Amino acid sequence: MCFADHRREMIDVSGLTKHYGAFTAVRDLSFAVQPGQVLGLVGPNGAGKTTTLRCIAGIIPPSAGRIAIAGHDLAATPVAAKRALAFFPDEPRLFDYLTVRQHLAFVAKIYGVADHERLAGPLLEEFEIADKADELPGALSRGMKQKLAIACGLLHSPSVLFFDEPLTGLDPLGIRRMKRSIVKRAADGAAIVLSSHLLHLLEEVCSHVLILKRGEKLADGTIPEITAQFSQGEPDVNLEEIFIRATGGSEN
Amino acid sequence: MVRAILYLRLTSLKNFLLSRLRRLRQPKYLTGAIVGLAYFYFFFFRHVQHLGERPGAASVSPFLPPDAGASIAAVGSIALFLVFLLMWGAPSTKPGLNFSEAEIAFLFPAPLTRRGLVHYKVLSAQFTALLQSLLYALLFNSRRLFSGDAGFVIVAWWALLAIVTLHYQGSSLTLARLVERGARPGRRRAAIFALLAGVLVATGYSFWHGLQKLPASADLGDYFSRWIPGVVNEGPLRWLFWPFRLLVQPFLVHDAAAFALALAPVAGLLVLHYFWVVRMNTAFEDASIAHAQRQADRVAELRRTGVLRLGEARRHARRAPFDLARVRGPELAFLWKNLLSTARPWFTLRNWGAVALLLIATAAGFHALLGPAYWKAGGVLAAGGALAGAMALLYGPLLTRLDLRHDLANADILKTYPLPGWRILLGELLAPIVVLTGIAWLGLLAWFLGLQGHQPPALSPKWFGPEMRIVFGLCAAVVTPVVIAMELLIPNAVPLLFPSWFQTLRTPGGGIDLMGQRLIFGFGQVLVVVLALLPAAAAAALLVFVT
Repeated sequence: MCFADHRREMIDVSGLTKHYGAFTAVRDLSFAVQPGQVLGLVGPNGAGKTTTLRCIAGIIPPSAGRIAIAGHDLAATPVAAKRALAFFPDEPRLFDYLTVRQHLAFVAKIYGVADHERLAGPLLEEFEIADKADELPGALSRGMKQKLAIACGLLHSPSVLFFDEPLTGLDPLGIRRMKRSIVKRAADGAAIVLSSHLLHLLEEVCSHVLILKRGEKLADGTIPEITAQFSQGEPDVNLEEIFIRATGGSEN
Repeated sequence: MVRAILYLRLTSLKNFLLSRLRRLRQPKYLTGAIVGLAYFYFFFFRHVQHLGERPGAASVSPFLPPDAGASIAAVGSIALFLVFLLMWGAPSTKPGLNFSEAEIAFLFPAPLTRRGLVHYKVLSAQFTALLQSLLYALLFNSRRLFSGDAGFVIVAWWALLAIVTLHYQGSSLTLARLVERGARPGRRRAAIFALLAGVLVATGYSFWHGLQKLPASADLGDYFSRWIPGVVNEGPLRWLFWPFRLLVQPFLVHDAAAFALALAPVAGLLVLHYFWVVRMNTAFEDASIAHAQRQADRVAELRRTGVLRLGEARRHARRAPFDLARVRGPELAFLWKNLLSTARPWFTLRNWGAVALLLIATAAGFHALLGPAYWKAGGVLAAGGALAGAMALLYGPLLTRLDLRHDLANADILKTYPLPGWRILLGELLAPIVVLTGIAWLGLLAWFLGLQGHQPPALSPKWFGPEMRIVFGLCAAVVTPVVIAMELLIPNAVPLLFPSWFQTLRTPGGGIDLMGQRLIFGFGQVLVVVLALLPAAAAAALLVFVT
């Protein structure tokens, strides 16, 4: 099923709700992301950021609502929708007994990427793990594992990317490369959603921000729009101050 | 999909085997592998004398009589019936489809349908079942495994394990769907237990009815061995046990034609199960992610502490074993902390006092009831107490991890404490010494009470008279904590003296080399105790000889 009215929107979320038993993790959340946009998902602990990302990446089924990825309904045509996306969890989870190269080969088989070796080489070079291509994950540092997980996600050239705390465990050089990589992919036309507590990261790479609290949307828009909404006319109010004002400065 | 699964499984298996072979270059693994292989040789391969030779149609096992097949089939059918019944009546808290964190990260966002994921798991489970079937054939049918029947045994095990796995997955998914639709688990459990009660009543009646017809001189063991196959193969319950008899049958045949005939209905059941699971469209993702997270936490905890937590992580604070403010000495603070860390909250003075009182009350009750025949019950109490005490003394130190090893992950913090090393080690050893001594003392008390008063006529009054029992009991009570402390010194010295060996002992998973390493440490512990007790034992033997 295609969403003819929203073709410009690579990610179109409408009325997303997720219950865990009696607990509601996300309630009636709607937003859209267009090609080239980077949406920062922020909120206190337990706000529903990871649940939202997992739902829109097709990892867990939503309790209600409609999600479209690249024009494909995630519930009705999950294969077509998932073919367009990549999800990067906060912790790199790898297979213990596949080497770096074999991880990429396995992903290529799952996504049906032909001639993956031609694509894998530049990716390994870009993330500086080419010299570790025949190592098992046990021999890699946490940062290298993170890089491998990202290389695997990018192998099928996704047009929609979801990052959950992408800078966790990276060294300063890795953080700079990751930020550049996100900006570059957005400039190439990808729609990106990233969840992070690092507000300076969001200020640097995000074009839009969505603030969540207890599963509900508090604000959604470009950074200048959000700033204008919460600055109360004060000049030079940074995103950290905006976040504290918007969320009331506590988890509850 | 199938190609991707085969690639993942076969490549992982190849890399796993290669990494295990490569690590044998390190002496600690090579030594462990040699000891582990020797263990396997003595327990499994030593009896294999005629490789490739069929064991004979009548033989089920070299240790059992030729006509034991019917009884084994019946017992197997009953066991399978109970396993399947439990899957519905008392289902596991795990989701039916257990994905690892890596599988969730790579496959859940991948372009696969939910049915595709189920398919992946079902096919992956067959791969695991095949490896398990080789292990089970080695453990339970080693003689047939190394004979011309090897193929039959492996296929029979694989088919059985595959059906059990598929039934587990299917029942879990079905129950999850029923819960989704608002079904009440209470009714289901009531129905299952009603069925079980019906079966028990029917079998009990059948047993009693047969017993009534039995002549007084008949052998009860013989009657029982004929009665069990009768329950499964005859009477009204034969229909209930019919599918389980089918599952067991391939294990009992020896020629190709009979095997094919026995396997055909099992294959039919396998196909039915396969379609049942694959066609279920139940949301399993949330439960699978939560389970994978719990598993990952347990593995991380095992790597950190060397202790495998079996249940859920504790969420509520436990009552303190004693008032820390009232005691002096940092060693007792370690004892207090480690007692709070025990897997079970039973080790409190109040509980032990309650068990001691229960033992005394039980013994007094039997005394009042049986009078001169007290030794019939007292003998059992004494034997049970002696066994429990001996187990606590010999196996307790091998099994416990409630000492320095449990705290090694916090070694950096321990080193900053203003205490000499010996006080920290003493403090860390106190908890297992206290717990195991407590169990051993309760065992001693049971032994003492069991032999009190009218003792078994077979026991010599010279060695088991009241005075000797008191002397022996007191000596054992004094020596027990010292022996336990001695046993615990070996495993606690290992991480300090051979840290790299200890790290390998904390490695999750198995392997012949790791098993061999654990055997070496077990032997070391036993050897130390034997050597330490040798002079005292020699002195005691001399005393017996002189008197």
